[in-house]
Amino acid sequence: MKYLIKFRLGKSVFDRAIDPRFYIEDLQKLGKAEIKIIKENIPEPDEEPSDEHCFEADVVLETESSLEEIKELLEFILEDGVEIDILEGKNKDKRKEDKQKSEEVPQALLENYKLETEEILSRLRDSLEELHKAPGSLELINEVFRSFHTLKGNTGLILSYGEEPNLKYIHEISHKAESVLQKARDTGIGLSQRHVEILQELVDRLDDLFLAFSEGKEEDAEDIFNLLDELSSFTEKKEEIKQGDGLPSDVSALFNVTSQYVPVFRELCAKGELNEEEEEFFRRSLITLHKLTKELGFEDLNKKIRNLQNAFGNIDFKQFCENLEELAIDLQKLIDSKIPESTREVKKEEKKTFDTSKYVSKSKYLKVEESTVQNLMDIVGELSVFKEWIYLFSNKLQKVYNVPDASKELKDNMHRFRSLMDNLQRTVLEMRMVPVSVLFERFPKLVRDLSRMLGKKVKLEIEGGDTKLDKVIIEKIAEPMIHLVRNAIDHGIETPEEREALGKQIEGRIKIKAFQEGGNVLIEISDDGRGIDIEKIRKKAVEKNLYKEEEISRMSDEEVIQIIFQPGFSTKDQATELSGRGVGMDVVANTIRNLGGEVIIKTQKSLGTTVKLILPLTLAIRKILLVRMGDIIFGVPAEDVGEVFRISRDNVKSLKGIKVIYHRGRVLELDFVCDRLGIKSTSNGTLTLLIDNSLTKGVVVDEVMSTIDTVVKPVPSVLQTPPEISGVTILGDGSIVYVLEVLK
Amino acid sequence: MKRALAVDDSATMRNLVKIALEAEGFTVDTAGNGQEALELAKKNSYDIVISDINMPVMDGLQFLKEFREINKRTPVLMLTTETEARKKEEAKRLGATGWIVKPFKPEDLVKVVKRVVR
Repeated sequence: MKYLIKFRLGKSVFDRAIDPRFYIEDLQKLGKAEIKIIKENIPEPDEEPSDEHCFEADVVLETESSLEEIKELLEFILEDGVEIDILEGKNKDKRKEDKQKSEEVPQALLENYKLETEEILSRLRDSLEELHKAPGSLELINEVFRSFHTLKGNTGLILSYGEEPNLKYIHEISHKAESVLQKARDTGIGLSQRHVEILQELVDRLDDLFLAFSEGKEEDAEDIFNLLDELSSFTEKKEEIKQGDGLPSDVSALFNVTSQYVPVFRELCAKGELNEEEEEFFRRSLITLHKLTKELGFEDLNKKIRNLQNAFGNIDFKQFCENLEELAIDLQKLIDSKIPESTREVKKEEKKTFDTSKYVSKSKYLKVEESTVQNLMDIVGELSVFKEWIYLFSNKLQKVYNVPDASKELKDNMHRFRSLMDNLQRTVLEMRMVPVSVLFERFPKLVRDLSRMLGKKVKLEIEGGDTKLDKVIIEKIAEPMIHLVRNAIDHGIETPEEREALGKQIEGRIKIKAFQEGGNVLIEISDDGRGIDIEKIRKKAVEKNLYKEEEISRMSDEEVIQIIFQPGFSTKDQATELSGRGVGMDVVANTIRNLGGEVIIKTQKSLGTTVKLILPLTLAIRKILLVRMGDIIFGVPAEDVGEVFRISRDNVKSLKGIKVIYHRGRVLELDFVCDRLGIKSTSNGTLTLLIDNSLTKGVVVDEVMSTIDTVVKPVPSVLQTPPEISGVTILGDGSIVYVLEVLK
Repeated sequence: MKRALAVDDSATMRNLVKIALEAEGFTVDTAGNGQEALELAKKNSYDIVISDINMPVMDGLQFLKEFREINKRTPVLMLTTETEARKKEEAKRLGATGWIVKPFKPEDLVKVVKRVVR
C-alpha cells in the first residue's frame, strides 16, 4: 500500500499541545516514508500559539498498514487538516481481527473492580433510600446517576477482556438505569416513588449478580428485563403520581426548576443587559418551563410563559423583566399551594445543606477504631517531640557544625512548623473529645428509679451537656458520678414530709452542670438537701478511731469535710441498699485524682451540697517537668507540682529521724528520692525542692531543666521498675525519660 | 522520569491508568476530581494529564478549561465513552490533545499516550 498523507496544520493543533512531528515519526515506523516539509513554524514550549504557527508537510508512505490503522494513528488531528489519499493498492481492514479475543483480566484491576463495586452498591442503597423519601430531588438523582455511570464504565472495562454472563447483566442494568436517570435529571422532571422502588429492586439484583460473579457462578437474571422495561417506560407514559405524603413528582420538578431559575432571572434583570450566554439561558429556561407547565396542565401559567417567549427580544427588556417577575410570583404561589408545608421546609433545608462532601460520605461522622486514634495520637506526640529535636538541631548547626546562616534560616521558619504542629495536635485531640451528654443522658432514668426506691421527690436539671471531654475521662468518671448522684438523693435530699416541715419545696432539686474553665472541665453536682452534717463527721471520725478527740476539735470545717474521702468512712447510720457497699467517697476521690483531677465539696447546713469535679480536658498530652538527679533526667507531671524552690541545706532539720523544712508556716517532709533510687546526687550547698499541691511534701532533685508537652506511655511490662516510675516519655533527641509519680 | 496525572472519580479507572503508565516508567499522581487535579497541576509539572469527563465537584471539561489557562504545553487526554461524542468536540475546543474511549485496556492507553508524549 502506498499513501499520500498531507498535513496542513495550524493553530488549532498547537492550542491542544500537539506536536505534529511526533506523527511524522510514527508514520516512519510503519514503513518506507518520503517526507517533504513544506512549512514548519512550531511554537516553542513556552510560546503562546498564534495564527503564524503552522506545520505543512507531504508524506508518501509505503506500508503494510491499512487505511483504518493510519486513520486511527492520526485520529486526533484528522479533522484539523490532514488528508490521506491511496496512491497504490487496495485497502483491507485488518483492524477488526484482533478484537473479541478473550484475555485474562490483570489481578490488581479485578481486585480494584470488586472493591469499588461493593462500595458503589452500598452507596446506591443509601442514596436510593433517601431518594425514596424525596423522589424529586435532582441532587440525589444526580448522585444515583453518577454511581450507575461509574459502575457501567468499570464493568465495561472488565468485559472488554472477555465475556462474562453476570457482568453482561450488570452492564445492561447500569446502562439502562443510567440513561433513565440522566433523562430524569436533565429534564428536571425527577422520578416517582415507583421508579425508585424499581431501582432499589435492580440494586438487589445487582448484588446477586455481583456475588455470583465473585464466586464464579452463573445467576439467571432474565427477570430484570421486565423491571428495566417498566423503568424506561417512565418518560413516555404520563400519569399523575401521588403517593403517600411525598410530593407529586412532577410538581416537585417544577419546584426544583423554579427555585433554580427564579433567582437567576432576578439577578439578570437587575443587570439590565444580557450577553449571548445569558440570552441563551433565558431561552432555554423558558422552554423548560413551557414544557413542564404544559405537561402538568397549568394552562394559565403556560400561556404566560408562551407570551414571554414571544416577547423575549421583541419588547423592551425592562418590560420583559416586569412580566417575568409576575410569572415568578405566580410560579411561587402555585408551588406554595401544591406543596405541604412540612415537605417544603425539608426541601429547603436540603438545598441549603447540600454540598459536594455528600458524594464522598453520607454522614458527618466517621466511625474510627479507638486504637487508630490512639496511634495517631502517639504519632502526633512523637512528632511534637521531633519538633524539639529540630530546634536542638538548629542550635547544633550554629555551634557544632558552624553554619549560622542555615541555623538562622531553620529557626526563622520553625514558627510555621510549630503552628502547624499545634494545629495538628489540637485537631487530633478534638477527635477524642466527646460531649458529656453521652454520660448525662443516663441520669434522668437513674434519678427517677432512685427517688422512687427511696420514697423521695426529685427534679433533675442538666446543664452544659455539649461540653466536650476526652472519651477516656468520660468513661472513667461515669461510675463516680453515678455514686455522687446516688449520694445526693440518698443522703442529701430529705423525704417529702421533712421538706414540707422545713418549709422547703416538696420536690428536691439536683443539678448537674458541666462547663469548661481554662484547661479544665468542671462538673458540679449540687442538691438543695440537708447538707453535710459536719458535727456528725467529727463524731464519727473519733468513733472510728480515724482521729483523736483533740485533733478533731482543732480541725477547721473544711478539713473535716475532707475526712469523708478517707477509706471506710460512711456517716449514714445504716448502709442502705444503694450506698455503703464499700464504694464510698474515697473511691470517687481516688478515681478523679488518678485522672489528674480534683474533688471539692462545698456544703451548707439545710441548704445543700455541691460536689465539684475538676477534670483535665484530655489525658493524651501532659505537661512534664524535666528534672535532673545525678546525671539522669526524670520527668515529673507538672500538675503534681505546686511549687519549686531552692533552699540551703542548712535549713533542713531533723524531726524524729525525718528530714523536714519549715516553709510558709508548715512542716514539709522531705523526700530524698535519689537515695531511694540509688542515684548519687550532685547537689551540695543548695537543694532544689518540688513541693506538692497541698504543701505537705518536698521532693529533692538536683536541678529543674524545663517543661515539655508530651505523651506519657505506660512502662513496658517487660521492664521491672520501682513503683515511683509511672511511665516513660521520649525526648526530642530520642532519649527515654522515666516519669516519676513522687508527689501523689 | 516522566510524570503523569490521572484524574477519575472511579478508583478502578484511576488505578488502571496508574498501573499502565507505571509499567512504562512514568511516575503517576492521581486525583478524584477536577478540583483536586487542578491543585496538583498548580504545584507540580506533568508531562501528560489523563482525565475523565464526568466527575463530581469539578468535571473534566471544566478542569480542562482551567488547566489550559495555566498550561498550554502539556498534552491532555480525555477519557470518554462512546455516547459522549458531543463532549469530544467540546473537549477539543477547550484544548484536549486527544481522547481515549472507555472501556480500554492498558495497552490501548499506552499506545495513545505514546502518540502525544515523547
